[in-house]
Amino acid sequence: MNDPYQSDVVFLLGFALAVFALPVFTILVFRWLRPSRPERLKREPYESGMPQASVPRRPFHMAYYNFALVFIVFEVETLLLFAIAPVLRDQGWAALAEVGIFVVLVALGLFYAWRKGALVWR
Amino acid sequence: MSGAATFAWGALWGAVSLTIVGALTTVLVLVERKISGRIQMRVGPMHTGPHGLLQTVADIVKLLFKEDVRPARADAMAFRLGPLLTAVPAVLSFAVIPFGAPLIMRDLNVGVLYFLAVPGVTAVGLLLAGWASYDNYSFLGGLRSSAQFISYEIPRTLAVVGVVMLAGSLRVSAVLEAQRTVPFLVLEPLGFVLYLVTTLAEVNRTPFDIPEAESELVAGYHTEYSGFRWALFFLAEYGALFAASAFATVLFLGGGNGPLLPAFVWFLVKTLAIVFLTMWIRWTLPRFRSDQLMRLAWKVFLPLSLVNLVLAGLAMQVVAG
Amino acid sequence: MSGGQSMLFVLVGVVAAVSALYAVLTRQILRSIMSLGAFLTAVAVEFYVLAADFVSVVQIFVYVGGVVVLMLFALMLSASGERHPLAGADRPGLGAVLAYLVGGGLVVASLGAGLPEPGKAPAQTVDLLGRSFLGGQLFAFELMGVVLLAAVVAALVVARGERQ
Repeated sequence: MNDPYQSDVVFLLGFALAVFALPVFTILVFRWLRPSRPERLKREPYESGMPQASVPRRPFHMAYYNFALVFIVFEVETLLLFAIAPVLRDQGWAALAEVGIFVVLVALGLFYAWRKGALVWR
Repeated sequence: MSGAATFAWGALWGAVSLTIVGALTTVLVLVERKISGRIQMRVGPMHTGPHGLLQTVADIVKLLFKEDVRPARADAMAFRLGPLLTAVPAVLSFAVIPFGAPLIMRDLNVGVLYFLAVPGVTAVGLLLAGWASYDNYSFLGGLRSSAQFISYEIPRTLAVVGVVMLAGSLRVSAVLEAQRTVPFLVLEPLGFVLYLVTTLAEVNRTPFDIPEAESELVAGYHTEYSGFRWALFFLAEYGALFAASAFATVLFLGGGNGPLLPAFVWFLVKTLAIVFLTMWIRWTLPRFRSDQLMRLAWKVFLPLSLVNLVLAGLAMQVVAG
Repeated sequence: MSGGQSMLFVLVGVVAAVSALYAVLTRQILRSIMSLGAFLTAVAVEFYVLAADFVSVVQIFVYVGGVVVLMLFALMLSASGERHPLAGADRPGLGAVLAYLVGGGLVVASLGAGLPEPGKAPAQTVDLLGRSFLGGQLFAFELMGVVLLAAVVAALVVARGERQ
């Protein structure tokens, strides 16, 4: 196992397995130790002591979806900047200007969304 | 090391991280309750153990033995998966935290980005938990928290780009090395403030705790949870709070760098100072409204983080030239 | 590829394939999305195994933390419930034929591409990526900025259409 990438992956897989399995294991063990007396009223969803007035499975504001859509675009732009950022230090002003153009494009997108009123929470 | 040994080594550190997060949550919940007590001129928990020191330990025992109630119409799979997907990413981020100079579990080539990416999966857990519960409060809480989460993720990530530019690497050890003389706080004060404030929003803390605003949403996405599954949400919150504070220390305060004391001590002192700051803010400021919160993310912090990027570029040129 | 690496690659690949199959075969849309999330995570692991660590983390960032969240929003806001949209698709046959054609085309193209023997993975991949973006691939980099700007506009057009 000389390949560092492979070794990273195997380490992280082991790490993730432990972090995932231990809480599950705890839940399973204490399943035998804790009480379990389900009854109808106890299993009603909480709504301030009243019967549920409306069910949560109903159409809801699209605003959430729109924000998620814009989020993905800006996220990709940010990550592209991450690819460049580590090598920018020894590249001089020209490279900085090139990245500057990209940042201006990001800002333009933000400006457009702003002017179109897409960033208003309704 | 052979493959199996590396795997076991990783699993060991995973178990250690989970234990650390559990211990941290136990301590920090008590500390927070004590601090909030002081700020509000109360004494906080006093009755379990001397000065109430064993209060959270007793709470954990209670939670472990508590009945696990699930609403009858809840989606069982999503209900079980939600808390896990909220807590696991927070603990996974501990793999790249440098507790002092040599004490890092895995110094990945892309460590900084790993730290920002993995906790992002939390948004999925929050949505699942809120939706699965079949409860209106949970549903709204889940939607709001994940919308807030993704909105603040962009300025937060952009704030870190400046640090990477100055450090010239995505490796955590290289970021620390670059701050041996001057911490990046000096070169990038705006970036530090942006990171800190957006982090408060990421870990759902006041003034950004709309998702679980008690007065309107009961307990938000975890309204229907009880027992150990409920505790997992708290593991996630305090684990993420500590991890994010630790990374603020790494990115802007030079990690374990400092005179006299060992790196490990410096690291903990700086991190806990930031944790204390977040608690102080939580018990001092009122909460933002939902629309103010989103406006702040997109119309204040995102433009500011672009400005910060330009400033970071200039700072980099000054340092390099 | 060393023996250990290809074994790891195949193992993770099996996980990816199984979760991808489950994502299209299940009738419950929430399970389909979660299974897709598992698939995307497995693909991220595959990238890392192949020494593309930056791409791997980006995959987690954008797909697992972004696209899966977007899909969950779509499911939860539209209240389409547990029914899979494919269950009522107008022309499932046409979709299947298209999928097989594209998939088959990709397999044929990759078999005929005469891929080079894998070399030794570089110690740092992000540096190479960044330097090529600033060097030979500068045009592509700036073009991505323009494309993403267009994507913002497109996303808002979709959103506005929804409102009217």
